[in-house]
Amino acid sequence: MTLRGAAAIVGVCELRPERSRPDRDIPSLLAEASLGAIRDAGLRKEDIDGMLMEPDFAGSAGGLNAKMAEYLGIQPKFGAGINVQGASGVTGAVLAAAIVNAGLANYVLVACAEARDPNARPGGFPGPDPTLSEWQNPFGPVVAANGWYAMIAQRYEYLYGGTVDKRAKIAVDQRTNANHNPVAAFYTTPITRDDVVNSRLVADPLHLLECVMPTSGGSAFIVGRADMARSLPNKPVYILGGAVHIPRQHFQHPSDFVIAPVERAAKRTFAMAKYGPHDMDVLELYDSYTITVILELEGSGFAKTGEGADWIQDQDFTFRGNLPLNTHGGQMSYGQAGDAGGFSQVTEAVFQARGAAGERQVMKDVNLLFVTGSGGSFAQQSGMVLTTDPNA
Amino acid sequence: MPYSKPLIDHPTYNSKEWWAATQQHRLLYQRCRLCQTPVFPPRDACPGPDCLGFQANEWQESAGRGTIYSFTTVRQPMDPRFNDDVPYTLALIEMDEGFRMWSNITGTPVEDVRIGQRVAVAWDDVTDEVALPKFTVAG
Repeated sequence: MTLRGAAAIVGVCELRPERSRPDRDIPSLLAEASLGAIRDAGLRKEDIDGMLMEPDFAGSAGGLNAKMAEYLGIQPKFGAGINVQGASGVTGAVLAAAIVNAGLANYVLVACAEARDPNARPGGFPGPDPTLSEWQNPFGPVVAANGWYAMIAQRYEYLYGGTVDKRAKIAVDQRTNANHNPVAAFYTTPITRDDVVNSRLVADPLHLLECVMPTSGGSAFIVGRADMARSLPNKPVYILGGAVHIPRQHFQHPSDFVIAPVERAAKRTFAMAKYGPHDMDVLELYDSYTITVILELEGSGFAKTGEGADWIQDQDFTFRGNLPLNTHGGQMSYGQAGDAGGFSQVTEAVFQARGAAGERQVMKDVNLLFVTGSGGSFAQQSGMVLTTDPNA
Repeated sequence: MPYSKPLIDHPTYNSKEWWAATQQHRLLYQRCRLCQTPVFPPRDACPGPDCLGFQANEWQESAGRGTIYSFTTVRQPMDPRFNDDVPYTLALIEMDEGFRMWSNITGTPVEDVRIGQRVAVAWDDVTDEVALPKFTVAG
């Protein structure tokens, strides 16, 4: 039993990343994105009979569904939380496809938003993780995930090399993509490899330009039954396969943390989709940091373990390139609106698949797309293959 | 002057004994009595493969020695109470008993810290009730 081709993404809405929106709250942003996605899909509110709300850093998932159902005036017959942090966009799409495939709902609304009020949380970052605060905070809390991902990068350098001058390739190509995306946080500022290498160290060995750009924003999309999707105005973007892998919460767990959790999710995703990594035309891979993308490329089978930092030097990840990657700029250059940052990779894949990405539209044919999400400190990752070809 | 940096907000029923032992400079971890899996952070469930042990984890005392698994030098602290400490080293230490913990490397310049270095616990008596197990590079 599989959900291959059973459902498609039929509507999307992406709110512009802004530094902060202190005058807005999360329900308001969720509502704007949700209504935008319903409008984009050509549906009526009454058609939405499933709901998956990602609570971002605040609130409880179950309560958020009820809150948003009332706020929007929707009465879904199926609803649940997602709550796998940055992996929630891809996981939400896969879960929605499963819900549709099981006959529990026809159109599932999936949404997440981040207001990022700088007054509410210093620096706009989430508070310390209460389950781990006693084992970490006495030794110095890290800036978001910088400390964890810095330790991944440090160990990768130790085992395989792959220093900042090599990792910078990811940041530079993604920035080129952002320079062609008018809503990206860094639309107007190009960068070079030297800029990345010479940017200040945040947590060794990660430099500032290897890190995400925290923003406010929000995303919503609607997953619908494939047979019903064909009568809607947009070209349906079918979900051919998807999977999640959750090996641990944090690195106190005695596991090898230069192996991306997506390794196992990608294997199952490609098996379900009946395609392999080298069939993919476009990649939208969760990018919290340069090292995150390199390890996802290795884990998903694009490069061999330990060879990713060298392998990327021979690729062109821009929208004009041989392997377009994070065509909206990625979260490093487009912006990361909390957990909605991981949704931006899903919505961007849909824009590219439809051929509606404007100036940054990938130049070659876009048939198959691979999308990933990553939550916490390499704790939970998901993968998904999309296509517009109903016969794929 | 009272210690102003973050300490345990709410020692849980899982962690009370661990923190109490720090006062005597005893570094505790747990081992499942059914399958011998080392457990840290402390909890009541055994995370070992194929083990359904519950409340079977027994306190053990670590010899306080291990190897640096990875580390980072923090240049920009999230918490302003660490502003005077930067740059400082955070490390994950693979303890000889088979568990991994998060701590600081002290007494070694940040540029001399390396993965694979042997380290030993160096207690920091931050209050009358609590000592923090920090680590120094072993000679």
